[in-house]
Amino acid sequence: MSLVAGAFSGVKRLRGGWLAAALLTGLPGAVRAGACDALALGTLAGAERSRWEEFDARGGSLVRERGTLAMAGLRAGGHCSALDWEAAFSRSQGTRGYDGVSSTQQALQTHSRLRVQALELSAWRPLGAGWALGAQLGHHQVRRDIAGSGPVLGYAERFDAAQAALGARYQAALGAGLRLTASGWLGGGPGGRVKVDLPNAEPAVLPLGSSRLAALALQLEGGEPAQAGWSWQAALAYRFEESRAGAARPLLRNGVPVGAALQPRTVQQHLGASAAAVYRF
Amino acid sequence: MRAALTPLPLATLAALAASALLAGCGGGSGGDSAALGAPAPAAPAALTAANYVAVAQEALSSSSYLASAASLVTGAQVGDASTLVRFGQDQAGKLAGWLNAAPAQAVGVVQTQTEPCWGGGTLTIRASDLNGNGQVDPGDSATLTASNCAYRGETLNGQLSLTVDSLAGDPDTFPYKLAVTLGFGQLSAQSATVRTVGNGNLALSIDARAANDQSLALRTSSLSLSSTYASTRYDKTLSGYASTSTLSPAGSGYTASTTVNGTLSSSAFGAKSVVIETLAPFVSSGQAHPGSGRLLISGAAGSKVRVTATSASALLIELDADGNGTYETATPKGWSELL
Repeated sequence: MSLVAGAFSGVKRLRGGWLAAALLTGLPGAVRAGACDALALGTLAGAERSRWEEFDARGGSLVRERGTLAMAGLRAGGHCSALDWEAAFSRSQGTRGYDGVSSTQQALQTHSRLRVQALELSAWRPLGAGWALGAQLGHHQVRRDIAGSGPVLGYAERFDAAQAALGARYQAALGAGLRLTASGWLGGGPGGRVKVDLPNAEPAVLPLGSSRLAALALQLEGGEPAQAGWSWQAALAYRFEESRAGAARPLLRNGVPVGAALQPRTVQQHLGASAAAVYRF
Repeated sequence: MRAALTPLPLATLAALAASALLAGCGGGSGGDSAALGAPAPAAPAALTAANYVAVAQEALSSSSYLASAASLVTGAQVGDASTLVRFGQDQAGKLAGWLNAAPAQAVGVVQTQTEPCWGGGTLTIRASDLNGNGQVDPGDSATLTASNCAYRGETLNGQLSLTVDSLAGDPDTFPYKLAVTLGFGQLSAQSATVRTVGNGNLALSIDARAANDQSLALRTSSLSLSSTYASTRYDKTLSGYASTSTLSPAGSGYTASTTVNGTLSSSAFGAKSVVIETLAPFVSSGQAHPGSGRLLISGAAGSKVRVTATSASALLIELDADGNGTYETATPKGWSELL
C-alpha cells in the first residue's frame, strides 16, 4: 500500500482532473467532425476480490471487509482523430464479510451486501511505438447494506464520488491477431458524499473527503483490430482507492439532534478478472 | 461475607442510569430540588402544532425504561450521548473490587489508586470504605477522576462518584435492597463526532425480590447533559424527575410497568421546559415497547400533549395547544419513529 501511496506524490489531483477534462472534451468535436472510425461494442463479465477498510483519526482499524463480487458490464470504444476512446459501464454485486466494531467499540462480525455501479470515460492519445497517454473521468456509486448482528443494528448507505485520472498505456503484438495491453492510472477526486439510512435517525448525507486512486490493468485481446467482426478480451485489473475522512454532520430525528456521524478514512482495493466479447462495426 | 455487586442488579441499575442520563438530567422529587441546589426550572414551553411531536419524542426518550441502548454497526462513525451512561455502568461493577483493595482492618480507610486506561490516559480512583471491612456497606463510596482516559474509542475527563446509600441483604442473592447515588462532575466524553458533558446526581434504588419481581426507582435533583453533535449544540435538563419501574412475574417472564414524572427542559424546544406526568403506567410484556400507557406533557398557558401507547408498535400523540381541554390535533406514530 505504501508503494501505491508513494506513487501519488508526483501527481497533483486537481491538475490531473483538468487535464483529463481537457483531453476528453476533444472527443465530441472529433465526433461532430465525422473523424471517427467504426464503433466497437462489447459486453464483459467477471469477478473481483473486494477489500474495504475504514480507519479512525488515529489510524486505528474500524472495519475490514473482504469478499468476492460478480461483475458485468458494457463497453463502447472507437478512434476519433488522434484519440482512442472508450466508455464503460459496469455493475458489481455480492457480499463481503465484515470484521469490525460497533458504535460502542465492541468487536463485531457480520456481512455487508454490495451493489457497485461504475461509469468511466477514457481517452488515449497514441504516442508511437505502442505507447499512449490517457485521461479518464469516472463516477462510482456504491450501495452498501450492512447487516445487523444481535442487538447491534445494521443500516444501508450509498456512496457517490467522481474521479479523474491520467494514465499510460503500452500495447504490443504477441502474434497474429493477439495483442497485450498494459495500462495504469493515477488520479483522484474531490469529496463525494454518502447517504446513510440509520435506524434511529432521519436519513443523512455526509460529505466524503477527497480521494486518490491508482489502477493497473493487463489485457489480452484476440482478433484483428482494424477489421469488422468479433474479437475477445481477457483482463486482470487492480484498483486502489483511498478517501479521506469527511466532516461530521448532526443526526436528527423529528428535527431534534440525536447524534452525529462522519465517514472515516476509507481504503478500497479490488483485484478482478474479466472476459469480454467485442463486436467492431 | 464480602458483598459483590452481581451482574443482575448492575444491569438493572445500568438501565435506570441510562434512562436518567438519556433524559438529560434530573433531580430528586420536586421538594428536594431547592435543598440540593438545583438550578431554577426553565420557563414553560408553549406546545404547538410545530413542536408537539418533538416534545413527545423528548419526553419519551427522557424515560430510561423506554430508551433502548442499541448500538450500530460501523459504516459511518456514529456517536451519541450514551457514553457517559455506559461508563457509569461499567464502573459500578468495579466498586466492590475497589473497596476490597482497601487495606484491611483500617476503619474509615480511603484508598487512592491510579490506573492506566486502555488506549491512553488515566483513571484515579478514591475508594472510601467507612468501616474498613472491605465490603460494600452504606456510606461506602468511590470517586473516579478521568484524565484523558480512553474509553471505547472516546476520551473522558472529569469526575464520577458512586455512593452506597443503603444496603439490606446481599446483592449476590435475592432478596436484597440497594440504593446507590451516582454523581457526575463535569464528566465529559469526546468522540470523533460528539462531545457530551454531564453534571448532576442520580439516585438509584432497587428492591429485588426475584429476577422477575423487582421494584426500581430513580430520582435526581439535578442532572444535565450538554452535547455538541458535529457543530450543533444540544442540551437537556431534568428537574424533579422520578421514574419507577416494577417487574412482576408473568408466566416464565415478567411484566414491566413504568412511570415517569418530572420536569424536562431541552434545546429541542428552545431551552424551555415541560412537565411530564404519567396518567397510566406504560406496561410491556415481552415486547420491545409498551403496549399500553399514557403520558401527559404540560407546557405554557395550559397547553398539553397527550401520548398514548395504542400497541407495542404504535402510539398516538395529541395536542391541546390552547389548553381548553380538547385535543384538536393528533398524529399516529410508530414507536420506532420516536425512539
